[in-house]
Amino acid sequence: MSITFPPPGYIPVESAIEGIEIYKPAPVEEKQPDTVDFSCPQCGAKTAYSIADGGLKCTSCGFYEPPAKEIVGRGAQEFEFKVETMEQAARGWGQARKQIECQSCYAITVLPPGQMTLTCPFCGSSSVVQGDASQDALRPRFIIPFKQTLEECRAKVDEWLGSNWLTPRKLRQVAGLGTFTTIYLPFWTFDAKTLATWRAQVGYDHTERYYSNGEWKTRTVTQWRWESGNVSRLFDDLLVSGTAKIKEGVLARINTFNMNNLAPYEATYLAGYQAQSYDTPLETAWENGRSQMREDTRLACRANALDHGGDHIRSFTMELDFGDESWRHILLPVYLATYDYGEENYQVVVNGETGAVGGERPIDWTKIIILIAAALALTVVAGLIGIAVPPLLCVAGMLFIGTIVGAIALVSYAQSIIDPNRTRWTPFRRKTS
Amino acid sequence: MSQPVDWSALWNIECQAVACEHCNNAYLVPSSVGVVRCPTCQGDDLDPLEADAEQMAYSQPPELVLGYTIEETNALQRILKFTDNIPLRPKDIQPQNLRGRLRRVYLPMWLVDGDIQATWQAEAGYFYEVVSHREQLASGQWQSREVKERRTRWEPRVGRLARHYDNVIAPALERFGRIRQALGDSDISKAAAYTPEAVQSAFVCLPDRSPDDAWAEAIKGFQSSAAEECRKAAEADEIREYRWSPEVEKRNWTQLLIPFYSTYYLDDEGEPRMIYINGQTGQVWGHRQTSLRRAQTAALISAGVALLFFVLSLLAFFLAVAVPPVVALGVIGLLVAAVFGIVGLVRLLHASQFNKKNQADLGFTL
Repeated sequence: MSITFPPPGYIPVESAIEGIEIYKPAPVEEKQPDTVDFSCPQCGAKTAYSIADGGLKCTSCGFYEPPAKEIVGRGAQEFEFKVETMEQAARGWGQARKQIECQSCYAITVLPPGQMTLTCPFCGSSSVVQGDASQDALRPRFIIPFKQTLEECRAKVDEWLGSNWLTPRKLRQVAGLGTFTTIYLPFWTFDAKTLATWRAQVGYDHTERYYSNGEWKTRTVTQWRWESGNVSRLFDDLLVSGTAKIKEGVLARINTFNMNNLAPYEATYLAGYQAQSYDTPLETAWENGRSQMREDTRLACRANALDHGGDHIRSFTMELDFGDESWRHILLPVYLATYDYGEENYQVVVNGETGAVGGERPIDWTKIIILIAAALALTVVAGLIGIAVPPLLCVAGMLFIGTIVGAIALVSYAQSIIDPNRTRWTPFRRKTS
Repeated sequence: MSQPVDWSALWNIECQAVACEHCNNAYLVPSSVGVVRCPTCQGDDLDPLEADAEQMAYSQPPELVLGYTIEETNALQRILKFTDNIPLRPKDIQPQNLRGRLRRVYLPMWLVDGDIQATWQAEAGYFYEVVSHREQLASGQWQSREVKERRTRWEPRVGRLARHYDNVIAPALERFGRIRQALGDSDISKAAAYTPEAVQSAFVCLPDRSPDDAWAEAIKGFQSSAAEECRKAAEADEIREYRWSPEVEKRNWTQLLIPFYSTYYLDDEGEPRMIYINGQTGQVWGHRQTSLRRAQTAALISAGVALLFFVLSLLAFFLAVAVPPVVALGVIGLLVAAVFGIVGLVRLLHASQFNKKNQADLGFTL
């Protein structure tokens, strides 16, 4: 063993025993300057991240600088749930940015230097005040850069707005969709392995013949048996939102991000864009993530219980162990817009990577009322004719029931368009438990 | 022409050096003890040792002697407790036999001191805790509880070391490692300077490894001590992959005698079965052999009783033709016969398995 002391890249550490010197590898310190100058080294004009070129570009002279770090994808470093990690996690944003807090919806948005946007991208409110950038937030380590340009995004939103016959015809003209906010939203990703042991009574149906009242009949009989089993599930990069300002239903519709495009965080990606710090802390997000994993594993256990020909389950219990849990804090690209229609304020979100659109849309209630009124009129007509031709009374009755059911379904569907957080009413949905 | 070692003059005690033809161990036997049998193997082929100093690994008297803290009476109690667990003990296991054959034996070991200068590298392990979860679904409700798991974070460390180490243990006997494993370590801090009186009533085993020969083992001891110190210096919880380049100066070798007892009992074939005790800690190790002869006798008695009940049962069945209720006695007799038969068989098998298991545990002799 030949070591030159101190070895290159090693720094001395305090020794608890006299006569023993100790060296450890110098920690890799990420350079986090207080401010990053996004001015062109050639002409001095402002530079910003170009979505089309995938790097920093000068709008004046065309100078181009690619990101310093390469895409790492799903191999991006993950962190264990240890107290030390939380405490040691680097803090701050790496670039001096300003933070505004909306006095209407209390959303906190971090803004690029020099930009004094006074319109909240979430609610459109103009009553905002400036505050210092929060330094107690865990710094995001990875990011998926924008891939969809503003023009592509706008076209997709236009298409989306006109894609539903229930939305008002003049919506596209009235909605002020001229201002899209390009913003990076905070997300958490979680990995874990679940190992579940279940126990339940599994029912096996069989038919049997029996003699009753002088004739042979058949009936279905369920035989119950206590059974148990083990199920293991692996969860990789389960995405949980780090912001509560965008409705879950909206986020669920744009959640088509490809984790293979994860890149190490660089301030370059944020040049010219906004980024929101998380307001759903790690513990809360992990609770949400665990809840999803738990439910997924529970369904897998029930499927496992019915794997051997069982038809029913009762007295189901299970124990679940989580293992190899890890997390990441990442930023994902989103176009965000709010618009007014009538007296209401609506939100539209576009996935900045894939172009998936989600959001709230107003409903033309006149169309719904006309439709229901037409159906009722038809029922009344059928009923009147039915006085003369009695068999038509039956048709009228069926029409009436159909109208009522149809009206409920239509209103429910309309509600899900207005508010994506509402689950669509599906009359024949199979119960999962 | 070299002269045979004058042990009495060298050790300042009236004694005789002998070597066992059977196990090749060499002993110094004080006149007060008298040469009886080899304390290691109980062989009676003890020949006077006519070797010169160059033929011996080491002939000098020890610097230190560790005294006996376990007296003969106490040692005997421990031996009897040790043999208590033997089922169907050989008849020779009697307190008076074991007491009469109890011998004091001193075994040598080396203690090495030295100044070490070294460069080293290792992986230091630091414990940390992660929070995991264990959940239970019962009656449709999830109950969640946190579980803390301890993990180790390994970090590379290199360094330099300039330290003095005292009393690093090195073997003076080839079989020393196995002896330590069986009879444990002694507290060497209680060692006293050698005096002829200290060894007057004991066999003293002579080293078969010289300091030069034992150095390879000694350096491992130094490395082990250094690794432990480096772990403490780095305030680590564990250390692994410790490698170093040492330079040792001011080596000082000390011979220390550590106390043991040996005794034996005779098995069915009249072969001696050894039992050893650490004279300082009282740890016992030895052969545990059940008497197969006694087991066979017990099994035969059981079989005889079983046969007797079987015959009585048959008679009861014959009688039952005339007096039907007697059939119950026949059934009971058959059951008792079966129980005695099984008991006999189990005792025989158990004795055989016990010997087989304890035979596999044997690894060395003192």
